Amino acid sequence: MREFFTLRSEERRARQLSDFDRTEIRGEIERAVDTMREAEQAGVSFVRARLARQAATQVIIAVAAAQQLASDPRREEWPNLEQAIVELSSLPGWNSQRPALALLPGSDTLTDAEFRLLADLFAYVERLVDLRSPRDFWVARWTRRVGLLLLVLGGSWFALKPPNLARGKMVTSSSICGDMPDADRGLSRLSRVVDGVRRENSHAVCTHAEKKPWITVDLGAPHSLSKIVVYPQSDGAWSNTDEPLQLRVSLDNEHFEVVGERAELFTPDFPWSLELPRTRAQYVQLLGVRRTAQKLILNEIEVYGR
Amino acid sequence: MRRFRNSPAVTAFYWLFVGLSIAVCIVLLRQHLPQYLPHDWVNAHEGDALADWKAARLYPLDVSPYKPTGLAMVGAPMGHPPTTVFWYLPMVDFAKPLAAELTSLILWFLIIPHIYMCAKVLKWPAPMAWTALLTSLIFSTSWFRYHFDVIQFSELIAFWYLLAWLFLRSGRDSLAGICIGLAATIKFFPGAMILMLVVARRWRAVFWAGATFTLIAVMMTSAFGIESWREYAELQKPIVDVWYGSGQSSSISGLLNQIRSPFCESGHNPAHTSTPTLASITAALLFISALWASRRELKRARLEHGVSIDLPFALFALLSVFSNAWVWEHYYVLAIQPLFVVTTEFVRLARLAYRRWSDMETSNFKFVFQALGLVLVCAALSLVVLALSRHTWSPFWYIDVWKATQSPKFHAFAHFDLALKVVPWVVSITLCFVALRATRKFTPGS
Repeated sequence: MREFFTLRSEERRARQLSDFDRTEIRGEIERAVDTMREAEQAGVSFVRARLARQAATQVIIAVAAAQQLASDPRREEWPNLEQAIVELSSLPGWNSQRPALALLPGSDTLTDAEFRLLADLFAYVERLVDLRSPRDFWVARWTRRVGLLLLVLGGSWFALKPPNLARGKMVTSSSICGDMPDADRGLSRLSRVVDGVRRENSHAVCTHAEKKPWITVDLGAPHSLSKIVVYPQSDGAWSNTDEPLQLRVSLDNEHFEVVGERAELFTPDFPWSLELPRTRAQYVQLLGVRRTAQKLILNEIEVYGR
Repeated sequence: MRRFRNSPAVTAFYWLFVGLSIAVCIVLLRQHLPQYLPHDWVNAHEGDALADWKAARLYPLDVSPYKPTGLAMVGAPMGHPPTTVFWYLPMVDFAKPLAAELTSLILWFLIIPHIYMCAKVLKWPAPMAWTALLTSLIFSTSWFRYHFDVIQFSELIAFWYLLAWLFLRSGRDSLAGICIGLAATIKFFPGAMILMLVVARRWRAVFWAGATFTLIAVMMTSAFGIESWREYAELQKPIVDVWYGSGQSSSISGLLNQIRSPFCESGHNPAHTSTPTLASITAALLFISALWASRRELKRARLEHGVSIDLPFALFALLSVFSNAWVWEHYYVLAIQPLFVVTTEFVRLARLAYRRWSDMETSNFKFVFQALGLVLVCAALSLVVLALSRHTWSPFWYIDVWKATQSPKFHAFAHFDLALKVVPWVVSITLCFVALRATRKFTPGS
C-alpha cells in the first residue's frame, strides 16, 4: 500500500537509466509502436508481415539495450537481434514467447494467428522496461495522493450532505393540466416534480387555472426538515410564479402550517429556496393563494432534512 | 509513453468511459427525444427552409419566387438566394409534411456522422462513445431543437464544411472545392472559405468551388431569370431592417449592435443601429490576422503535411460564420468541427509540454506557466459548454423578469446570458489563434 503512494522501488529501478539513454530508448520504442500500428492497418499481407517483423525487432533491440545500459551505463553499442534475444531470455515469461520469436527471421507473409503472436510479443517486450523519468514519478505519486484525497472528500460530502427527501416520493395535486408531459417508465405523471431534474425542456407538472391550486409531496414518514427549494418552469417568462404562493407543511395532510410565502418572481437559475428552523413534517404543500384562478407550473420540488 | 497495447487500468477506464457515455446517451435521449418526435409536420414552420421548398415548386413553372406573383405563392419573405432553392428540386412533387419531415430528419441524422468523423479523423479514443455522448448532449440543447423546429440548413452547410476539410487534409482539392461550392449555394457566407484556399494556393479547390457555384447559379437563373438576383438583393432590405439589430444575432455586427444599443433598452428586434462599415472593418481585420497567423500552416499543408490544414480551416470556418450579417443559434453546428480541432490541438500541446518537462528539457517555472495557460484554455472551453447549454430564449425571459421586478440581479443576468451567445464564436476563434501561435512555438520546423 505504501509503495502505491511512494513508488520508491519502481523509481529506483527506473533511475538505473540516465536521462539521455531513457529519451533515446523511448524514442526508439515509440517509433516501433508507430510501425506496429501501421502494420495493424496495412491491407496488403506482405507489407503487414514486413512492418510487424521490423517493429518487433526494433522493440526487442531497444529493450535489450535498456537492460544493458542499466547494468553498464558506459556501454555505447546497441545489441543486434541475436544478442538482444540472449539478453532478454532470462526474463520471466520469455519462454512463452518462443513461437513468436521463431517468426522473426522469415520473410514470407503471416497468417492472422501468426500476426497476433508477433503483436503479443511486441506488447510483452515493450512492458519489460520502465522509461518513466523522476518527474513522471513525482506526478504519479501526487496524482495518486490527490486522487485519494478527492475520493475521500467527495465520498464524505456525498455521505454527509442532507438527502433530498422528496426524491421519488408520492405526489398529489388539485388537478393536472392538459399539456403536462408524460413520466418515464410508467410512473405517475406527477412524479416528474420529484425526479431530480431541475431543468426540464418546458416544465414537469402543472395544474389547471383554478382557485387555490396545490401540489403536495408525501415524504413517507415524518422528518426533520431544514430546507425546501422550488424550481419553476424553464420555458417562459415565469409569469405564473409572480403570483402569491405559500409553502405549507403538515404531519397528517390535514392540519397545515404555513412556513413561507412569496409573491415575487423566481426562476430556475434563481429558485425559491426556503431555510426552515428545524421543522418536523411528513407533507410539504405548495399552494396558490390568489383570490382569482391561477395555475401552478413547476420543474422540481426538493426537500432537505434528516 | 505511448504504448501499442494499453495497460489493464487504461483499458478499464476506456470501458468505463464507453459505458458511461452510453448510459448518459440513453438517459438524455429518453428525456429529450419526445421534444422532437412525433412532430406536427402539417403545421411545420414555413419561414426558413420550407420557403425554399415552396420556391422550388415554382421552378418547373419558370416563375421567379422573387417577383410579386412568386412571392404571393411562396407566402413568406425570400431571405435565401436563388441557389438555395436548388436543394429542394428533388422534393418539388412532395407534399409539405413529407418535405418538412425529410429535410428535418436528414439534417437531424447528419449530426451523427458529423461528430463521428470528427472524432475518428482526429483519432479520439472510442469515437463511437464520443459520438453517442456528444450527439445526445447536442440533442438536449435548446438551440438544436430550434434548428429542428424552424427547419434550417445549418447542419447541411456544416457537413459540406466537414467534407471539404477531410478532402483538403488528404490532398483531394477538387472534391474539397466542390464541397465549398455546394455550401456556398445554400448561404453565401461559406464563400469566405475561398479566401483561405487562394492564400493557401489550392487553385484546383478554388476552381471547383467557383465552377460548382456557377453551374448551380446558371441552372437556377435559367428558370428564374437574371433579374431574380437583383430582386433577391432588393428583398433583403426589409429583412435586414427587421433582423440586423436582433439581440439574438451573435455575429460581429450583432455584437457591435448590442454594445451600441443594448437589448434591454431597444427590445428584441430593433431597427439596426450600428453601421455595417464598422462590422466590415472588424471582419476584414480578423481575416487579415487569420491569414497572417496561419500562413505557415497553410504552406506546410500544401507542401508537406496535409493535416496542417486543420487549424487554419477551423479558424476560417469560424470567421466565415462570425463575419456573416447575422448568426443565429442553430449556426452552432458549424462550430463543432473547429471545437474538435482546437481541443485536439491543445491536448497534443499539453502532452508535448508535459513530455518536455518530464524529460528535464524545460524548467519547473516554465512548465507551471504553460500549465496555467492550459487551465485558462479549459476554463474557456467550459464557458463554451455553458453557453451551448443555455436556453435560446433565456436572456429575453430574464429581461421580462427584470422589467417586472426591477431587480438589478435579473438585469445583469440577462446581459450575461445574452453575452454567452457570442462566446462559442469568440472563444473558438481566440483559441484557434492561440493554438496556431503555440503550435509554431512548440514545433519550430512548422
